Amino acid sequence: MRRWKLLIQIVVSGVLAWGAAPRCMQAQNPELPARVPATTLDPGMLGTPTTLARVSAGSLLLRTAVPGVFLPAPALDTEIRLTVEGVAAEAEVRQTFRNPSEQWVEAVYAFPLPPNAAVDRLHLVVGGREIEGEIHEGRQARRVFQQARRTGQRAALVEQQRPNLFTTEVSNLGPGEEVVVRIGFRQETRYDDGLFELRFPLTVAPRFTPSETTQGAAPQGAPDLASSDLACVNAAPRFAARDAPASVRLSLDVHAGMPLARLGSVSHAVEIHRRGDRYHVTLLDGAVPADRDFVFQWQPDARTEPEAALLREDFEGETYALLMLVPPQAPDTPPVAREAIFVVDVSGSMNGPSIRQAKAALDLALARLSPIDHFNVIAFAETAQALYTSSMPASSGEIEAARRWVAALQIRGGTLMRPALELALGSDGVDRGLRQVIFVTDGGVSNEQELFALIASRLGASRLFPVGIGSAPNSHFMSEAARFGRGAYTHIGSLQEVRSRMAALLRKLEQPLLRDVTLTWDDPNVEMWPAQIRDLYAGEPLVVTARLPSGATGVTLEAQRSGLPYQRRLEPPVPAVTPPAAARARGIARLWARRAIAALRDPTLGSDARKAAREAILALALRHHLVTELTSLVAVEHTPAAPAGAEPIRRAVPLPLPAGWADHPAIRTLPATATPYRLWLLAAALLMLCAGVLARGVREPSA
Amino acid sequence: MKAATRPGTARQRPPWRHLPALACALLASAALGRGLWIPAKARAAQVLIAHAWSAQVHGAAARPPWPWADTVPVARLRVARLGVERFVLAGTGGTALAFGPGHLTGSAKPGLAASGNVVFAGHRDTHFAFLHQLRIGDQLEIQDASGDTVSYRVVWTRVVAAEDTWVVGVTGHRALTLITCYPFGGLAGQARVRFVVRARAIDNRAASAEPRAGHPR
Repeated sequence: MRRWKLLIQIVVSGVLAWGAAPRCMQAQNPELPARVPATTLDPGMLGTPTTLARVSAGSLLLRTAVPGVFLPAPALDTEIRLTVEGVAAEAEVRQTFRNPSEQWVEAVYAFPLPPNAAVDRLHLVVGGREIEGEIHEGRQARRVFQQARRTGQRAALVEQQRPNLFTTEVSNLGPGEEVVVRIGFRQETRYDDGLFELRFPLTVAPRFTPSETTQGAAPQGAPDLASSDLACVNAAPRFAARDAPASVRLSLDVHAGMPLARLGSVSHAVEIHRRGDRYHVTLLDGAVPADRDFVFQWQPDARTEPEAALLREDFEGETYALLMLVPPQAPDTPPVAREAIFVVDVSGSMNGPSIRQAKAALDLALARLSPIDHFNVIAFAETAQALYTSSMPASSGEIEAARRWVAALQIRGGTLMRPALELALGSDGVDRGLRQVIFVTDGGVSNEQELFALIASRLGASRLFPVGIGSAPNSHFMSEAARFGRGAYTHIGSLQEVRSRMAALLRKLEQPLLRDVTLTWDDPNVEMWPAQIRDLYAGEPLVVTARLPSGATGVTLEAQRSGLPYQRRLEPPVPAVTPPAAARARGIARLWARRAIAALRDPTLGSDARKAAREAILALALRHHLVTELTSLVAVEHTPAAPAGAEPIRRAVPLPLPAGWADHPAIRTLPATATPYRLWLLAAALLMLCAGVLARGVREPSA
Repeated sequence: MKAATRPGTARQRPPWRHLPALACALLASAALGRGLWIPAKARAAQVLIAHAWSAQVHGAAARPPWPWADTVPVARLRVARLGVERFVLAGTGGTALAFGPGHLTGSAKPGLAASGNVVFAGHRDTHFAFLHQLRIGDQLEIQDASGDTVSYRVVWTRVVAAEDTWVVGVTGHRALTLITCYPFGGLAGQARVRFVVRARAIDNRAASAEPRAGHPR
């Protein structure tokens, strides 16, 4: 009977080893590679069950000794407070960093902001004390931060990685400690077709960087280890695992300064309280997962739709203004012949709901073409492919064929936008009417500058209309592509929005209102951004920001309307100001500076001009206290908190993936690269041993 | 063994007395077969791929290394110091990884024009078992399908969580990232952490290459 006991013991030990092995690995702390319990499970040591028993006990011990935390990522709460005043918005983002681990850590958090956001304030709140951030040239700010980090002082650094992607770093966060970082910025709201819109991004979609970038957008990093490490942490936000709950609380105060017909959010369920002419908006669900953009819209009462609005701010003895003009609709415009080029992104990032939205949008657009139009369709991923070699008349047969072609499109690999843009903007020289390129994509590219340069140089008579698809498109790319392409950007957030948004865009494209627009100020020293005004379509306002050195000055608008000259004059003292909230406008100077900086960031400049532009950007940013690619905000606590010499461990705060990205395995986790073959061999060795013992047990009695 | 000291008994031997031992031996050989099959396949596939690769580099069109293969080799990775040569396949799915390290779809393509982050992943217990011998400063060579070679130098190695996808993210320089599961001695077919090797390109030929003429491809 003892041999049965032995057999049972061996089998039980084997099962234990089997069961324990994966758990040993889970319990392993990656910070301490020296403690590798799994390697002690060497098959050569498994001769006796006692050793096995010891191993499984060891692994149990390890499991209890190491807390179930792998990479103790700092936890983060985000609270966003938005305030709309007239046509501009002021916002504050409060990021609460908590360190759940036992070590001193340094937290890195990459987060998105609206593409036109002017970040100008930083406060670090530690234990009730507030430290105000200062603006410095980027390298200087980092030096200040590094210095504070070495001496154990708590510090916060806010840097711009891309015009709509920022990072916050907090140094010397003690075990169990909590600090609050408050970041303030201003943004413009969008007015179109009688509707105001405020869009706030809550996450960033992962970007695809084509391997064929000919001109690197990112600066060449220093060769040392630390900075190359930094570059990769910062350039790509870390995405959380499937169920990591990063949530955001958000509140919005709307003071439109005019009676409103309706207001609401198209992205989130909200609760709206009215107090006089102010509306207080909160999310119905309290905190929501940060996986889609927050979009809020409000519509002025039809009688009070603004025709002109001017916001003014006096800043350091100068007057800054934001001018919005809505040109009246010309009566009875005859239909205009157009050449419509539809471009659709079928790359991997469009997988899931995005491609369905894109196809639905294209289908609507194709169905709306009129017989006097010409059209072509281009699909692109790593390569671009056109339906026709040159644009075809929009006969019903051709439209049917194109709709079938679009419906059959399949998702392919990476996003290479260059060939698609080249194909779309490469006109064959035949004039078939207004050339409009409707570009449907999620903009998941990172060689933005290169593409802007391409658009600017190839545009010719074409106009580019990017249509952003998905829950978190790259709005910076879209709006800048629209700026360089002298068109407008449309965003479609969900399948339900496709019909209304596309209908609005297509209606607009059919009715070009003003072309060749120029705005002339009486005072020649007025500096206005954008310097070149794009064509205006039905329902669109003209929005410019200007610096008025002499205060009030008159302005003349000249344009072509339905082929005839159109003129409009606004006399000083600067025109009828609707809404009356104008007087309270703050931050117009900073919005002007932000626009000036965007204009200076011209990718078509030569290297000398670029150098001059960089200096101009730096001067503007320092004067207006703005975070840009060249300047950062840094706040440092005076008294050291951490023991000197304790190097904090650097941790990235994970960011949730945009909704609809769930089916992208390559992005979710790194590839799985383990095989169970050693486990099989171990099992084989154990069973062999078992067989040997049993066979001997059978033989022995006869010996 | 203790059993040897046991005094013999005159008890009748049952006819099924060999059965437990036989069953164990049978199971053992089955487990052995499964256990050996994985590394055997991994080795044999690399030999077959080596043939397909040399044909490809000498101008033949990219072809699967064996008729029913659903992947093609995209690069050859060499580490002179360790005498290691691996043929990298397209994609990092389970089937591709059984035969060779895989190139992460969507990461920069290997070759002279590669300007971003080229990412390869391989099994920790077969093709990429050598990663733990890599040291900072080691030189890696990547040959692409057209026969061009780019050299990289290891700048760091580290252990990250499986969710730490920033390692495959955009880099401001030409980089090569090798990923495998960690710890190296792990037994199970899964792991929650990864060992990552980051290398930087040594020469700058492609970085200064002429911008391509703008024609649709």
